[in-house]
Amino acid sequence: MSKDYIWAIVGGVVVAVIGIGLLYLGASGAMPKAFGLFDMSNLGVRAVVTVILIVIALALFFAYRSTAGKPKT
Amino acid sequence: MATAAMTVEERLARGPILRGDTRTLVGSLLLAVAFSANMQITERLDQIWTGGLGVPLGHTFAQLWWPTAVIYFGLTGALIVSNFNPIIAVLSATHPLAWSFFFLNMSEMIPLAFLFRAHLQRNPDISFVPFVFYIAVCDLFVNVVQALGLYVVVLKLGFGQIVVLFFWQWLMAVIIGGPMGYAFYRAVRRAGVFQ
Repeated sequence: MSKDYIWAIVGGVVVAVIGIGLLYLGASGAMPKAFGLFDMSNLGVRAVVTVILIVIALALFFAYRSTAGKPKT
Repeated sequence: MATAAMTVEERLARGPILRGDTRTLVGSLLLAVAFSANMQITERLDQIWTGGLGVPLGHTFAQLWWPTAVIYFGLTGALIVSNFNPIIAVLSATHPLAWSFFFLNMSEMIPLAFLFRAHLQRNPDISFVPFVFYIAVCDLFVNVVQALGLYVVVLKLGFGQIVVLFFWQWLMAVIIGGPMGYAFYRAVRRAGVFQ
Protein backbone atom coordinates (compact mmCIF):
# COMPACT_ATOMS: atom_id res chain seq x y z
CA MET A 1 0.00 0.00 0.00
CA SER A 2 1.22 3.47 -0.89
CA LYS A 3 2.58 5.47 2.02
CA ASP A 4 0.21 8.24 0.93
CA TYR A 5 -2.75 6.06 1.91
CA ILE A 6 -1.17 5.49 5.31
CA TRP A 7 -0.54 9.22 5.70
CA ALA A 8 -4.15 9.89 4.72
CA ILE A 9 -5.35 7.63 7.53
CA VAL A 10 -2.79 8.83 10.07
CA GLY A 11 -3.30 12.53 9.21
CA GLY A 12 -7.07 12.26 9.38
CA VAL A 13 -7.07 10.34 12.65
CA VAL A 14 -4.56 12.64 14.35
CA VAL A 15 -6.52 15.76 13.39
CA ALA A 16 -9.78 14.09 14.39
CA VAL A 17 -8.46 13.02 17.79
CA ILE A 18 -7.07 16.49 18.54
CA GLY A 19 -10.29 18.09 17.32
CA ILE A 20 -12.58 15.83 19.34
CA GLY A 21 -10.32 16.37 22.37
CA LEU A 22 -10.60 20.14 22.02
CA LEU A 23 -14.36 19.86 21.54
CA TYR A 24 -14.53 17.81 24.72
CA LEU A 25 -12.53 20.45 26.58
CA GLY A 26 -14.78 23.13 25.14
CA ALA A 27 -17.91 21.26 26.18
CA SER A 28 -16.43 20.84 29.66
CA GLY A 29 -15.98 24.61 29.94
CA ALA A 30 -12.19 24.38 29.93
CA MET A 31 -11.77 26.44 26.76
CA PRO A 32 -12.23 30.19 26.37
CA LYS A 33 -15.46 31.24 24.68
CA ALA A 34 -14.42 33.41 21.74
CA PHE A 35 -17.37 32.86 19.46
CA GLY A 36 -19.32 35.78 18.02
CA LEU A 37 -17.09 38.81 17.82
CA PHE A 38 -19.75 40.40 15.68
CA ASP A 39 -23.47 40.57 16.19
CA MET A 40 -25.04 37.64 14.34
CA SER A 41 -28.18 39.63 13.64
CA ASN A 42 -26.28 42.42 11.93
CA LEU A 43 -26.92 41.97 8.22
CA GLY A 44 -24.49 44.77 7.34
CA VAL A 45 -21.54 42.81 8.74
CA ARG A 46 -22.44 39.81 6.63
CA ALA A 47 -22.79 41.89 3.48
CA VAL A 48 -19.52 43.76 4.05
CA VAL A 49 -17.58 40.55 4.80
CA THR A 50 -18.93 38.91 1.65
CA VAL A 51 -18.04 41.89 -0.53
CA ILE A 52 -14.55 42.16 1.00
CA LEU A 53 -13.91 38.46 0.40
CA ILE A 54 -15.00 38.71 -3.22
CA VAL A 55 -12.73 41.73 -3.76
CA ILE A 56 -9.79 39.90 -2.13
CA ALA A 57 -10.48 36.84 -4.29
CA LEU A 58 -10.49 38.92 -7.47
CA ALA A 59 -7.31 40.74 -6.43
CA LEU A 60 -5.56 37.45 -5.70
CA PHE A 61 -6.77 36.01 -8.97
CA PHE A 62 -5.30 38.87 -10.97
CA ALA A 63 -2.11 38.77 -8.88
CA TYR A 64 -1.88 35.08 -9.61
CA ARG A 65 -2.49 35.59 -13.31
CA SER A 66 0.27 38.15 -13.47
CA THR A 67 2.81 35.71 -11.99
CA ALA A 68 1.57 32.46 -13.55
CA GLY A 69 0.77 33.62 -17.09
CA LYS A 70 -2.48 33.53 -18.97
CA PRO A 71 -4.64 30.41 -19.22
CA LYS A 72 -4.47 28.26 -22.30
CA THR A 73 -7.08 28.99 -24.97
CA MET B 1 10.97 11.31 -12.07
CA ALA B 2 9.07 14.26 -13.55
CA THR B 3 9.19 14.55 -17.33
CA ALA B 4 7.68 16.92 -19.87
CA ALA B 5 5.22 14.21 -20.97
CA MET B 6 3.45 14.23 -17.63
CA THR B 7 0.28 16.15 -17.00
CA VAL B 8 0.48 19.08 -14.60
CA GLU B 9 -1.55 17.17 -12.01
CA GLU B 10 0.73 14.15 -12.26
CA ARG B 11 3.85 16.30 -12.00
CA LEU B 12 2.49 18.11 -8.94
CA ALA B 13 1.51 14.80 -7.31
CA ARG B 14 5.07 13.53 -7.70
CA GLY B 15 6.57 16.67 -6.21
CA PRO B 16 6.68 17.72 -2.54
CA ILE B 17 3.27 17.62 -0.89
CA LEU B 18 3.96 20.62 1.35
CA ARG B 19 5.14 23.29 -1.05
CA GLY B 20 5.88 26.85 -0.03
CA ASP B 21 6.40 28.58 -3.36
CA THR B 22 4.55 31.79 -4.21
CA ARG B 23 2.23 30.18 -6.74
CA THR B 24 1.10 27.57 -4.25
CA LEU B 25 0.55 30.09 -1.46
CA VAL B 26 -1.28 32.62 -3.63
CA GLY B 27 -3.32 29.94 -5.41
CA SER B 28 -4.29 28.32 -2.10
CA LEU B 29 -5.28 31.65 -0.65
CA LEU B 30 -7.31 32.45 -3.75
CA LEU B 31 -9.30 29.23 -3.35
CA ALA B 32 -9.56 29.80 0.41
CA VAL B 33 -11.09 33.22 -0.10
CA ALA B 34 -13.45 31.97 -2.79
CA PHE B 35 -14.48 29.09 -0.51
CA SER B 36 -15.05 31.53 2.36
CA ALA B 37 -17.19 33.81 0.22
CA ASN B 38 -19.23 30.77 -0.76
CA MET B 39 -19.55 29.69 2.89
CA GLN B 40 -20.72 33.15 3.95
CA ILE B 41 -23.95 32.26 2.19
CA THR B 42 -24.23 28.50 2.68
CA GLU B 43 -23.41 28.47 6.40
CA ARG B 44 -26.15 30.99 7.06
CA LEU B 45 -28.60 29.01 4.99
CA ASP B 46 -27.56 25.94 6.99
CA GLN B 47 -28.16 27.81 10.20
CA ILE B 48 -31.69 28.68 9.06
CA TRP B 49 -32.30 25.21 7.62
CA THR B 50 -31.06 23.09 10.53
CA GLY B 51 -31.30 25.51 13.43
CA GLY B 52 -27.51 25.47 13.70
CA LEU B 53 -27.25 21.72 14.24
CA GLY B 54 -25.83 20.74 10.88
CA VAL B 55 -24.07 22.04 7.80
CA PRO B 56 -25.47 20.07 4.84
CA LEU B 57 -24.88 22.89 2.36
CA GLY B 58 -21.46 23.50 3.89
CA HIS B 59 -20.51 19.87 3.27
CA THR B 60 -21.97 20.04 -0.24
CA PHE B 61 -20.34 23.24 -1.47
CA ALA B 62 -17.03 22.44 0.23
CA GLN B 63 -16.63 19.69 -2.37
CA LEU B 64 -16.70 22.36 -5.04
CA TRP B 65 -13.41 23.91 -3.86
CA TRP B 66 -11.53 21.34 -1.78
CA PRO B 67 -10.61 18.69 -4.37
CA THR B 68 -9.21 21.30 -6.76
CA ALA B 69 -7.28 22.91 -3.91
CA VAL B 70 -5.61 19.66 -2.87
CA ILE B 71 -4.97 18.47 -6.43
CA TYR B 72 -3.10 21.64 -7.41
CA PHE B 73 -1.67 22.75 -4.08
CA GLY B 74 -1.36 19.55 -2.04
CA LEU B 75 -1.14 19.70 1.72
CA THR B 76 -0.36 23.42 1.63
CA GLY B 77 -3.69 24.00 -0.11
CA ALA B 78 -5.42 21.69 2.34
CA LEU B 79 -4.11 23.53 5.39
CA ILE B 80 -4.68 27.06 4.05
CA VAL B 81 -8.15 26.43 2.64
CA SER B 82 -9.36 24.42 5.64
CA ASN B 83 -8.21 26.99 8.20
CA PHE B 84 -8.92 30.28 6.45
CA ASN B 85 -12.68 29.92 6.33
CA PRO B 86 -13.18 29.07 10.03
CA ILE B 87 -11.38 32.30 10.96
CA ILE B 88 -13.76 34.30 8.78
CA ALA B 89 -16.71 32.20 9.94
CA VAL B 90 -15.95 32.84 13.61
CA LEU B 91 -15.28 36.55 13.04
CA SER B 92 -18.47 37.06 11.08
CA ALA B 93 -20.50 34.51 13.09
CA THR B 94 -21.91 32.68 10.11
CA HIS B 95 -22.88 29.58 12.06
CA PRO B 96 -23.12 28.56 15.73
CA LEU B 97 -20.74 25.66 15.04
CA ALA B 98 -18.15 27.82 13.23
CA TRP B 99 -15.54 27.29 15.96
CA SER B 100 -15.49 23.57 15.19
CA PHE B 101 -14.82 24.03 11.47
CA PHE B 102 -11.03 24.15 11.89
CA PHE B 103 -10.74 20.48 12.73
CA LEU B 104 -13.73 19.33 10.71
CA ASN B 105 -12.30 20.92 7.56
CA MET B 106 -8.82 19.57 8.20
CA SER B 107 -10.05 16.07 8.93
CA GLU B 108 -11.49 15.90 5.42
CA MET B 109 -8.91 17.89 3.49
CA ILE B 110 -5.75 16.26 4.82
CA PRO B 111 -6.82 12.70 3.87
CA LEU B 112 -8.19 14.08 0.58
CA ALA B 113 -4.79 15.59 -0.25
CA PHE B 114 -3.02 12.27 0.26
CA LEU B 115 -5.65 10.22 -1.61
CA PHE B 116 -5.62 12.46 -4.69
CA ARG B 117 -1.84 12.54 -4.55
CA ALA B 118 -1.64 8.74 -4.46
CA HIS B 119 -4.04 8.49 -7.39
CA LEU B 120 -2.37 11.13 -9.55
CA GLN B 121 1.08 9.69 -8.98
CA ARG B 122 -0.06 6.62 -10.91
CA ASN B 123 -2.49 8.22 -13.36
CA PRO B 124 -2.23 11.27 -15.61
CA ASP B 125 -5.75 12.38 -14.76
CA ILE B 126 -8.67 11.44 -12.56
CA SER B 127 -12.06 10.34 -13.85
CA PHE B 128 -15.46 10.97 -12.31
CA VAL B 129 -15.84 7.73 -10.34
CA PRO B 130 -12.60 7.78 -8.32
CA PHE B 131 -12.98 11.53 -7.84
CA VAL B 132 -16.39 11.12 -6.22
CA PHE B 133 -15.25 7.98 -4.41
CA TYR B 134 -12.44 9.86 -2.64
CA ILE B 135 -14.88 12.60 -1.69
CA ALA B 136 -17.32 10.00 -0.38
CA VAL B 137 -14.63 8.35 1.77
CA CYS B 138 -13.25 11.60 3.20
CA ASP B 139 -16.64 13.18 3.81
CA LEU B 140 -17.77 9.98 5.49
CA PHE B 141 -14.79 10.30 7.81
CA VAL B 142 -15.47 13.94 8.63
CA ASN B 143 -19.10 13.07 9.31
CA VAL B 144 -17.95 10.46 11.81
CA VAL B 145 -15.72 13.07 13.46
CA GLN B 146 -18.58 15.55 13.49
CA ALA B 147 -20.98 12.98 14.91
CA LEU B 148 -18.58 12.01 17.70
CA GLY B 149 -17.04 15.39 18.47
CA LEU B 150 -20.03 17.63 18.07
CA TYR B 151 -23.20 15.62 18.28
CA VAL B 152 -22.20 13.19 21.03
CA VAL B 153 -19.66 15.14 23.09
CA VAL B 154 -20.85 18.75 22.76
CA LEU B 155 -24.50 18.80 21.73
CA LYS B 156 -25.47 15.43 23.24
CA LEU B 157 -28.03 14.72 20.54
CA GLY B 158 -30.12 11.57 20.38
CA PHE B 159 -29.10 8.66 18.18
CA GLY B 160 -31.93 9.29 15.69
CA GLN B 161 -30.97 12.93 15.24
CA ILE B 162 -27.32 12.02 14.74
CA VAL B 163 -28.16 9.43 12.09
CA VAL B 164 -30.40 11.86 10.18
CA LEU B 165 -27.81 14.66 10.23
CA PHE B 166 -25.03 12.21 9.36
CA PHE B 167 -26.67 10.84 6.23
CA TRP B 168 -28.21 14.17 5.25
CA GLN B 169 -24.80 15.84 5.14
CA TRP B 170 -22.92 12.92 3.68
CA LEU B 171 -25.36 12.11 0.89
CA MET B 172 -25.69 15.74 -0.16
CA ALA B 173 -21.91 16.11 -0.22
CA VAL B 174 -21.45 12.99 -2.35
CA ILE B 175 -24.46 13.18 -4.67
CA ILE B 176 -24.53 16.94 -5.25
CA GLY B 177 -21.13 18.20 -4.11
CA GLY B 178 -19.07 15.48 -5.82
CA PRO B 179 -20.32 16.16 -9.37
CA MET B 180 -20.09 19.92 -8.80
CA GLY B 181 -16.51 19.55 -7.61
CA TYR B 182 -15.65 17.38 -10.60
CA ALA B 183 -17.17 19.88 -13.04
CA PHE B 184 -15.18 22.68 -11.39
CA TYR B 185 -11.98 20.66 -11.48
CA ARG B 186 -12.48 19.87 -15.19
CA ALA B 187 -13.11 23.55 -15.92
CA VAL B 188 -9.99 24.60 -14.03
CA ARG B 189 -7.93 21.90 -15.72
CA ARG B 190 -9.22 22.83 -19.16
CA ALA B 191 -8.51 26.52 -18.56
CA GLY B 192 -5.01 25.78 -17.32
CA VAL B 193 -5.31 28.59 -14.82
CA PHE B 194 -3.27 26.84 -12.11
CA GLN B 195 -0.55 25.50 -14.42
